[in-house]
Amino acid sequence: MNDKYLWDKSGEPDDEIRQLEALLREFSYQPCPLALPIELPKRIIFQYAPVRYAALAAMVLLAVGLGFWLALRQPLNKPELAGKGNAATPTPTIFPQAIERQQEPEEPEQKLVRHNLRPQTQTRYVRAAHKRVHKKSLEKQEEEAGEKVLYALQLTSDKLNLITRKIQTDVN
Amino acid sequence: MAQLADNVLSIVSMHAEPNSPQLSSAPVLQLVNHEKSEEITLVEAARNGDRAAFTKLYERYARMVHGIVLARAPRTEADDLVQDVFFFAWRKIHTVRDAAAFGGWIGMIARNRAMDYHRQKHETEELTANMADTIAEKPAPTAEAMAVLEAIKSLSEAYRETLILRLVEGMTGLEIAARTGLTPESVRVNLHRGMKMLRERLEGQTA
Repeated sequence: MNDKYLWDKSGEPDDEIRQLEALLREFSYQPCPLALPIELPKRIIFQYAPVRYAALAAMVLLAVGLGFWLALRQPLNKPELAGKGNAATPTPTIFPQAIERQQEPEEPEQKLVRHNLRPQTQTRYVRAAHKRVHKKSLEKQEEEAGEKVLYALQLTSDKLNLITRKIQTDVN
Repeated sequence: MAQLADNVLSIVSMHAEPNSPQLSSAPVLQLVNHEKSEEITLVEAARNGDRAAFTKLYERYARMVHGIVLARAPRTEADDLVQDVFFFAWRKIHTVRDAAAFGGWIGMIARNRAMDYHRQKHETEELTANMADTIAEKPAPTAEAMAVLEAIKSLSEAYRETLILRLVEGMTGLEIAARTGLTPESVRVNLHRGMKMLRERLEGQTA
């Protein structure tokens, strides 16, 4: 067998190989035009995996964000949580303590009511604020009482000094 | 690319006869380099939807695809499967990342499609007069030719594919290597061993 002829059809032709070629020629490829479908191949926008993953992550984040936003907003819009107002027109829950503080413009606790919070959260928030206010007023009263006690002690000591001086002069 | 050029050089020098003047490697290298760079351009253009570029790729690779399909599927289905392979390749051309590996990529599609043919259930269709005329235009293969083809198909995958590309499609060893992505050394070994095994099978048939 002529290896050179088998490799690239060059050199002395090999009779056996030529015979096989002649026999098998009828099975060879007959050129015919390629009829491609009309639609274009998919564009390469989403060819790369990172772009796909980034788009997917953005969609997931958007969905989660939307879910949270709806979850925070929905309870305030429900009629049974809307307080004593008209059930058809939901109103935010306002606590009396909060209203009182709203009427005092100089107090910083005025902004305690947050309409975008859940009622439970609002209650906790208001209670905590109450405690803070109560503590502050207690501190003031204590200070005043302390001052009064000091003043009383000072008066008592002055009076005692005066009495002592008078006794000494009487003895002399 | 450089590896392919080195392989081509080694084959060219291996086949140069000692007493004959040395074959000049420059034209072969130039041809390989030019063809490969042109192919990369065509693949990139086809990825952007250029039909003309894809048609050129089809013209370049149809013989190879036909040979691969013929090595696995019935000969009567080969032409349809070639079209099917190129339709599929056209739809998926954007997934080709390495344009230089187009040959290997489409070769793999052809192998998978030919395997799918055997897995699928094929419905039979009654011949119409027109279809019968079309088929009648092609002369029926001789029994001897069929026997040789079946003998090749009975060989192992690597040998039958290389032998069909060489003996049926008329491609040279270098062409087979350049198109399929195999090294010229592998192609040469496959051709040599495949021919030896084929001869043994044919001798066994006649005996």
